[in-house]
Amino acid sequence: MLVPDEVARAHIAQESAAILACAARNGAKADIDIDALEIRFSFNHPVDKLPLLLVADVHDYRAAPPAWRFLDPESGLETLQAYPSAGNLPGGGPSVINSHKGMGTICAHFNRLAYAESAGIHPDWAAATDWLTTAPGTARATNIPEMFQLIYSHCCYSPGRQGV
Amino acid sequence: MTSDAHGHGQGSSLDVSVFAPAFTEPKPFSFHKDVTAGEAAKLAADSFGYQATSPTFQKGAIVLNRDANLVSQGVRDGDELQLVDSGGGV
Repeated sequence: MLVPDEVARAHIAQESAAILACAARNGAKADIDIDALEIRFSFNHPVDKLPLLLVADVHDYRAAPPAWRFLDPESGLETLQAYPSAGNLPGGGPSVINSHKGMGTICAHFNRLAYAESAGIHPDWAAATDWLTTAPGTARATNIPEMFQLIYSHCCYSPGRQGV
Repeated sequence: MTSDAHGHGQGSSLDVSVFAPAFTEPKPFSFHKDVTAGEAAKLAADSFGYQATSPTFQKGAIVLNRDANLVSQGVRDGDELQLVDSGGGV
């Protein structure tokens, strides 16, 4: 544990109104479980119209970024097909939605699971505690609404599901 | 709030509402119709203090190409736009 849960809860409480508003503007539903330090975003895939469940584990926030995962909405398990496949934004760079070791992943400085200490897709990213300065020049997000907006926008250009 | 001094109310500008992810309320902007989405989004992002690498707008589920102007991408007076960073992953 990098920070007491109460510290992380205070940060999430401060962002809660913006999290809910940002999700609603995009037609998504955000459920904030402040006790569990978990935020669940529900919305539909643009192609198959089936539900996507994007979950942020926000323990240690903001000393470290959230751990972002797509979970199967029915089983609650992380599966390859729970992840959208990658599609690039118009005129933008590579998608932040990627795959690693047979599982989907969010390849961005604001995903704790992308770092070496989580055996993530970026062994060159040493410490998640450096997340605010890691990978300059790539898509940036420094709070939960910005992170959600960025992931959601990439989902809008996903052609399908991973592993299908 | 205007992006520049020319054209507001004279048919050469677009009056839009811009949302930034971390804010609950939008801000009004008046952009020249010839401005690119990237240029306009940079102005808006700076106004919100949103430190995006490659800011652009999202209109509905459509992310605007930063290099094309707003009008050519279907932006009209009164539209609501959302800021997003179109910089890529790695």
